[in-house]
Amino acid sequence: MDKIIFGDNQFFGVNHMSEQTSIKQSQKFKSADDIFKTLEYVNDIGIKSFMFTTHDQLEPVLERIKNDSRFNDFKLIPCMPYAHKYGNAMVELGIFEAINKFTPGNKLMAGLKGVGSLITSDPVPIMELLVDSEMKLLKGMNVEAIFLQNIVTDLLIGLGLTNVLYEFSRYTEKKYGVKAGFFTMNHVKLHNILVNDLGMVNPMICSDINKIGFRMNPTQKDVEAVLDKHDSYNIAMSILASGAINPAEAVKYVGSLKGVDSVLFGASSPAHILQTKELLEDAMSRQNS
Amino acid sequence: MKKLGVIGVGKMGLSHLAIANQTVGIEVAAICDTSKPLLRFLEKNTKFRAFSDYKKMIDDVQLDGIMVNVPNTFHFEIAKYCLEKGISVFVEKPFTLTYKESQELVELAKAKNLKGQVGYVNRFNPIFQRVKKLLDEKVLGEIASYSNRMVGGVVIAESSKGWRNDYSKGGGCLFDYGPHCFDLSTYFFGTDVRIVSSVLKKVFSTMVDDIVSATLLHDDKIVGYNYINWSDNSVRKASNTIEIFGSKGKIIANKQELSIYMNEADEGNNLQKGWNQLYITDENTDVNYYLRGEDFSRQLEEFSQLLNGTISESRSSLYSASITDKMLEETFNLSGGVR
Repeated sequence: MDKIIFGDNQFFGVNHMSEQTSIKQSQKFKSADDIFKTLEYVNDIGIKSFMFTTHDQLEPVLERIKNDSRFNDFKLIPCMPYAHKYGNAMVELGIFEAINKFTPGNKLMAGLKGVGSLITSDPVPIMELLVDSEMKLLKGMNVEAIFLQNIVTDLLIGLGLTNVLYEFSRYTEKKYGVKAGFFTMNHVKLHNILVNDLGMVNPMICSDINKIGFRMNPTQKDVEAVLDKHDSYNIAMSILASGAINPAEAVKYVGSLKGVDSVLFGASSPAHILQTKELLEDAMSRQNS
Repeated sequence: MKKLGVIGVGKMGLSHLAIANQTVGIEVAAICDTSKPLLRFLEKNTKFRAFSDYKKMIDDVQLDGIMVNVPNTFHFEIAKYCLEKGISVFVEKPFTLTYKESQELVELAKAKNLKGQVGYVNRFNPIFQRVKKLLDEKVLGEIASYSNRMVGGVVIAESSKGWRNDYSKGGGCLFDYGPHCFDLSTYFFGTDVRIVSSVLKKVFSTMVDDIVSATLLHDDKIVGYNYINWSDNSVRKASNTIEIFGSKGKIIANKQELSIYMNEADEGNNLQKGWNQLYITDENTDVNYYLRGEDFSRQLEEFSQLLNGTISESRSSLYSASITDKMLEETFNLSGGVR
């Protein structure tokens, strides 16, 4: 896994601090072309990993990446599911039709597999169908890992359905030959489940890690203590806390934590992308020395 | 450790269930839903006892509190049954569909010395809590007026189908979106309030309102204007914005950010003359478990404290929620129908 990973929030107008910033961002990235141009720049300056939610809007962008040899060494890290897609489909079509809609290959067989698991109440086959459905978008591409969205990870934690986390991880390795990763807003709880309860070795966890402790639950101190153990592969996101911390300070804090292995960041303008990348490279190389 | 039952584990109910299950001081002992596949799924994969009949759940399991996350039309009946059985309740918003029913439940809870809370989650937002504190400390001086807007994109095309287009099922912008907006009015400016005038307007719906416009008067001295629109496709998700005008300055706030204009500096509160800016990132947002935002986690932490007796009244009490229902009813009655 690269130390620096480019994210996608800016493409879809996600900003936790300000609605106005969200509006400005969604104006900037109106078309697939706008997004592709940014990724072209990211690739050019040597950021070779892109982590993204499996939005429908990314489909034409991924298609262009696939057919462009400059992106041959560019690694994709999908995060799934894009929950709204399923939410809307379930409301519009009902649960069985929704599962059919998103299951690849033979519609009838896939439908039966999903319906069967509903009858036997086993969540694992449904999870596998949905992973396959999301991965259709990435067929033949350079996928480095598959991540589970925090809303799903954290819901499974909350309900105590933690074996699904284990099964997800097993499935991505078996079917796609890549490691699974987990987004979470509950780093400490998840770490305890994956490492201590499920006995997973060096699981990948991506969570908010920033100087002001924003959304580091239950507390910044607790998260830092777990990072310090360094028995998970930790990816820091929201290092700028949606802009509350200036880039230099943000990077200095993350670089000071030995347990942080990679950083996921997003920015809209080339200048900001380059600046953050250079700051991160400097901090992460010093972290190693 | 207080034992909790959860009635209704559909979309929002499932989130509440997960959060309750991770809340300190609460143990989820039983769940109830009418969806058989969902129940079977949860019964097989979780530790909760599952029921399809809430009365049976209450008979079979010793419970201290119950969360009522069912469609709005059933809030009254189920909450009343729980209270009559001596069990404290958390009811999703709106409390009930009429002021009379809400009043009845307030009285019942009082007579039985039981605790109650309604799911007005905005009251647990750190920025709105900051605004409340500033108002309580009179940082803006005497409040003269406010405008309270809630906009979102729920009904964004012509539609005559579904519960949203049916008042008897709790539909319409006033009864679906409205509760959150009107509840913020009482949270900030108190429950001594009446509606002076209102207009309900349809845009895409055929039988119900899509836009609500109402003028409120608190304590006969603070005038408020509530504007609610659930047909605005330009916003990514529902947002509440409140602008408050007082003799010493002005506040503009939403769930993420707070702008304060001060006529003079207020050193005690670290506010300079002119504009001051605060963000959600400036507030403490730590929670034991996070699923849909700290607001949702904190409202259940409060219900746990209520059940465990560490607080005697919720900041989102049955009484304040009953006043919200009163305002919704007055707004509806004064409007003279949908235009």
